Amino acid sequence: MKKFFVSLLATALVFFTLVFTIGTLTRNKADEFRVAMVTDFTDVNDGSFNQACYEGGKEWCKNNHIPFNYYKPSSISVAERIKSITLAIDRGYDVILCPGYALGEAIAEVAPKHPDVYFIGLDITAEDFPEHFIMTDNICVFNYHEEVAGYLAGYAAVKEGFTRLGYVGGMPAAQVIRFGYGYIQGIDDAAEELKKNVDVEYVYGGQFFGDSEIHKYVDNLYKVDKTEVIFSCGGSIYTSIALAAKENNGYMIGVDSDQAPIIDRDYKEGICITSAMKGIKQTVIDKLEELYFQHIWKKGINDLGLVSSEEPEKNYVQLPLENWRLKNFTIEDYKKLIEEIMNGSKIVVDDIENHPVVSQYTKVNYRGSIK
Amino acid sequence: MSETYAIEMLGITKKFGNILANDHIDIRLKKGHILALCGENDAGKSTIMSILFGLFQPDEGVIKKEGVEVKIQNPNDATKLNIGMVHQHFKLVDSFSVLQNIILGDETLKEYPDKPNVFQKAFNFLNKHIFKIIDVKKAREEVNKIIEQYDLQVDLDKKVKDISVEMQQKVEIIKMLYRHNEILIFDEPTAVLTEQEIQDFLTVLTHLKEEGKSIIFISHKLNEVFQVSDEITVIRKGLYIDTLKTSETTKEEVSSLMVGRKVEFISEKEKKTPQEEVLRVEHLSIMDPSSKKKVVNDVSFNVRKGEIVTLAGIDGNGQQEVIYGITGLMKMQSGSIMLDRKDISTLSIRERIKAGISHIPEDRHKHGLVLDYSIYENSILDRYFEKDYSQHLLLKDKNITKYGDELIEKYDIRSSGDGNTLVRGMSGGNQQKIIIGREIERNQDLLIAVQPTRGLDIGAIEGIHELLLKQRENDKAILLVSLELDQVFSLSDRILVMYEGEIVGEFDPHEVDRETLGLYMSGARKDQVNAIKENKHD
Amino acid sequence: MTKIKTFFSTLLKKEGTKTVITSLWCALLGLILGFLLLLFINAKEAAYGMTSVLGNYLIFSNPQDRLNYFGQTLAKTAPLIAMSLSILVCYKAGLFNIGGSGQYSIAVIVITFLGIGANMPWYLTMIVAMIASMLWAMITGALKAFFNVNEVISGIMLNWIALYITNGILSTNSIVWDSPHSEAFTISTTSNSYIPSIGLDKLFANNSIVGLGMILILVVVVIIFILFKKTTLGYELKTTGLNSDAASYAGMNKVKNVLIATAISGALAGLAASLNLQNGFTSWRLSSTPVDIGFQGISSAFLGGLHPIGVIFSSYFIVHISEGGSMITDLGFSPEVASIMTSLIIYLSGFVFFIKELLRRHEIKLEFAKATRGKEGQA
Repeated sequence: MKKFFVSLLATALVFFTLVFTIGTLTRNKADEFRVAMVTDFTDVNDGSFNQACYEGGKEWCKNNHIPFNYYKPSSISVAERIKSITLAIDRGYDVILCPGYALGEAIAEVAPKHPDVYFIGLDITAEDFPEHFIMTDNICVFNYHEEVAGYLAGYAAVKEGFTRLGYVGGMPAAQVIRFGYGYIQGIDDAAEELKKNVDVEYVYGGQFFGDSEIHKYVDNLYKVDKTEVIFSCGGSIYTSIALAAKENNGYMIGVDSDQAPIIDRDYKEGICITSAMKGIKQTVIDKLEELYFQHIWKKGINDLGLVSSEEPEKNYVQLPLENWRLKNFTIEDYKKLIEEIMNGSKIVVDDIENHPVVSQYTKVNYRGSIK
Repeated sequence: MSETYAIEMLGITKKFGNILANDHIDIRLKKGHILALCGENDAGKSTIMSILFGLFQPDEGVIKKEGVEVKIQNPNDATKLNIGMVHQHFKLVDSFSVLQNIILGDETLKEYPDKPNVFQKAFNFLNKHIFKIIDVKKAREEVNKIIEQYDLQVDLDKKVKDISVEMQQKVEIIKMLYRHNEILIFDEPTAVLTEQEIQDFLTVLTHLKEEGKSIIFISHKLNEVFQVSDEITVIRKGLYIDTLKTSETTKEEVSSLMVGRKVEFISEKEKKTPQEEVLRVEHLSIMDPSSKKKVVNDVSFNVRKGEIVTLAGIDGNGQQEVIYGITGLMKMQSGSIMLDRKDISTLSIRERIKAGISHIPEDRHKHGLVLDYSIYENSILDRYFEKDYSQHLLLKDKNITKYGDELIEKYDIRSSGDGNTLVRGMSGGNQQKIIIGREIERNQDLLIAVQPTRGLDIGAIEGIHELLLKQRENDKAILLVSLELDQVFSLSDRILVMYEGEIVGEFDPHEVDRETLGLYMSGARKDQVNAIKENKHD
Repeated sequence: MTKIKTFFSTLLKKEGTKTVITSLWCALLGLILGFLLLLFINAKEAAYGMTSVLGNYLIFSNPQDRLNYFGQTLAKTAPLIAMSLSILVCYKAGLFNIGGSGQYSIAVIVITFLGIGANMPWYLTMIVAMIASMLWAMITGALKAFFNVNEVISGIMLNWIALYITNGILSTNSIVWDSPHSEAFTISTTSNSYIPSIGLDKLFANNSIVGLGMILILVVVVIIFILFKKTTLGYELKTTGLNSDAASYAGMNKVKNVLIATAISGALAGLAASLNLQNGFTSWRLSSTPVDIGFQGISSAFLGGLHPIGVIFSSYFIVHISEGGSMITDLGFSPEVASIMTSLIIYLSGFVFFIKELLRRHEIKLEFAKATRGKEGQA
């Protein structure tokens, strides 16, 4: 017994000394400019929202030789998000990228304590912060007109010739609903113009990731409801939809970023016809650039949407121009559509309380949530 | 040296950790002789035989076969040297037939006879190396030859699980002979046999000896040893004590060598007249819940104050179940059990304990003790609910410790520490003393003792016998279950013989001989017993 | 000097000391293996990563943050202790409570409805939650006691049933369900159901999840300790667990004991839920797998040497390591690696029994030798 005890002591001593000494020695706390990102629910490789933010941050930091890192809270709760942000600040990061509404409360808790740290929030609205919270100067959040992105995708899909469309959202959060309702408006406008009857199956997955249950449901959409194209609108829930599309020779529309390359690689070439993009990556790059080089800081809540019909790639909501896959709806048609929205001849409503009003050509079937 | 030794083991020493299991033991087996290896439990008998059979490697010492030194690394080496062993627990495959068991591992392959043609040659080659088709016919012939030669009648086509223990032992013997073994080791072969079967077995042993086999016979039953052996080697606690010629020694000498002091063989007990009845069992029947077989059939008997009543019989004839029925561990099908003139048939186990039953169970590890409890905790196993040891749901630690210390003191319970020592690490005898002490101290009218000396050595057995007799003196009613005839005779006031769930006879130990009892135990009824006896006289 | 020496040598011989030393060995072994894993993934940051894992809150440079996260680690330990005790009680009675997750989630339903919906006082919420999960656990107990259904199988099945019941009931009730966020509302610090801080939050940099719950769990530990050390019920449960044949020999009522053991462990699992939710730390989210804590409790119970006091330390260790493990994702270790490493450390504690068994055999041989020598001396 004594032997066991003594050897335990010795091993522990050697191990801890070794780890702590090397650990402390290899640590260098430089006071250079550093950028960190904290995730909300999913990981940075969700092929969607988080990934876009991550890629933006990573790309900009790499080009400018600035340290970049990301933190994933160990469990899904506000306290854990606060811990991750605090840890990032403690490790010397100056800018914290916070993609996702869920981080609103955490920012409100941490930001006032660290006035010298910049917080860039994405997709965080005033309602996501606690009541009576007064925004401090070091917070700046950006929201997008998702309804416009959804509108573009829905309009393009019907113009392309699809008549049976589907929508599978993540959880019914404001952004997700805006995408969906914009999508319906776009579908309806295009159907009215073409005087064609279209059907829309509208459902939420109840989570931001795919699994066997979601896959089964989507499979049924393709098989039983004869849906031709489904708008996958919720983080990595696309995995289930892409799989079902591949198995049923169907099509899908991506969200947040241009998902075509990933889906081409992981599932099947060509099933993702377009994506309702938010310029998340663009926002991150632009804002870091402004802050670092021009010292511009737009504190408060900012809305981002369409800015140009001539150079549509500069818009913060858009369809991907690279590798344009639509045949009947051309880039010219797309540019014309943007112009029409910008000059007000086409109106996209951002109301999320009521279902969008549709013409007699469009039949929407609201199915609630899968889970 | 005129005589050649079949096997010599010289100066064999074997250590397990710090325990010296064998300390310079010499064993010399003469060709064509029977050597008895005697010693108490844990004396190191099995260890030395395991070394001979290649299961262990000795730390020191040499083994010689016919004067030539040999190395036995594993049982295969032993087989090659024609050494065979019948273990205490048979190594047979239950679901195989007797013949299959015999030829298993030493299969006679099908082979075409001398001067085969080309195809037959090819077949011989392929069969030897690839197909390995067994020549059952040839094997059966060989086995039958052995059976005839040694007069070992068994049914070759029955499955092993369907034949009796005695038959299984014969199968083991045939197995060794089939492998042309010259040196045969028997590890406690008679432990599982009835008196009658033992006699048959000893005859077989003599027969084997006459055919030139050399035999090592491990036993601590001196009657048998003296009946068949030529020499006796005694070991004690791993030490080599002596080797004696059987014809030149006495049982008393050997047994005192075994235990290191003289042992009284029959406990002297004073005469007593039994008084009022304590336990009355009437028409007790019990059905085994799994096999739906009636394991106890219409059993009636009583036990009175101041007497020891013994349920004798071969293991598995319903004695255990009778006890389970009385203590409540098994549901009774019909009948009644009266304790002190009160019917306890419908009471729970706890209520029966409270009504006045002390029970020394057969299996101390299964029922009698919690091995991972200390001596203290075990000492209150069936009385923790009594007022002395608990109140308002709380245990009274002080009283428990006091009581435990009393037990340790009074019953000489030895362990490596105090009463907090875990029972698991203690020797069997000391474990048994805890149970016996606990049950005797409960001071109930009825004491049930099931095989109270199972697996213990002579010294411990003696002590336990004394304790039981003392209870008899104190006017307790004692119901004993025993498989050992020596014990049955030395303790009982009345002997009830059980066979297949029924009581087939009641005897006074002074008026019955071992042979008769053995016949009853093996199922021969009184009339048949008489018939057999008459035959013998003829 | 010799006095100290003898004191230590007797201490080392004690069964408890053995358990502690084996547990420490297991923990250390786990840490070393975890470190090797980190070395393998990213040698440059491995040492600092391990320092972070071991340091947890100590890594923060700001003393307030340190206090805050020390408090959080402690507060998260409390429910794990409760769950470990739940496993422990059943284990002592010879049952393997793998249904802790299910019992936990049944309690969550009660807590969410009483806490969010009805705003009941915290102790009432807690007690009703414990009763609910107790009744749920007794399903397993009854199946075992009356029909001899293996408790592991029924426990696993009831885990899934409870999971879907909880998901279903909570997510369809808008009073308690925050549907835009797909989770139940969290009990706020101003709610009646919030377990009061009794000023403890002030000690930990105003961390509101620290509170009375931590003291409560220590009281429960003492109660369980006394149960097994001093009471007849504890004696019966232990006997049933160690040797159920001996228990029936001694006339103990097996049915009663199985029901009582499962009832106690169910109530403890409910307490775990209460301690986790009623401090405003988290709430129920839709989940497709039974909650982790039910399984972590198993490791913690074993690492704690199946002793109520030991469980305090093992639970703290496990929470400490998991918390620390979540702090290395920025050092080139993906969250997956971090969780593999922490699970490696945690589940390695299963080795406790293996090593203990080896030690025990060694010990028995010694004792046996001693006993044999003793006999010889006497003869």
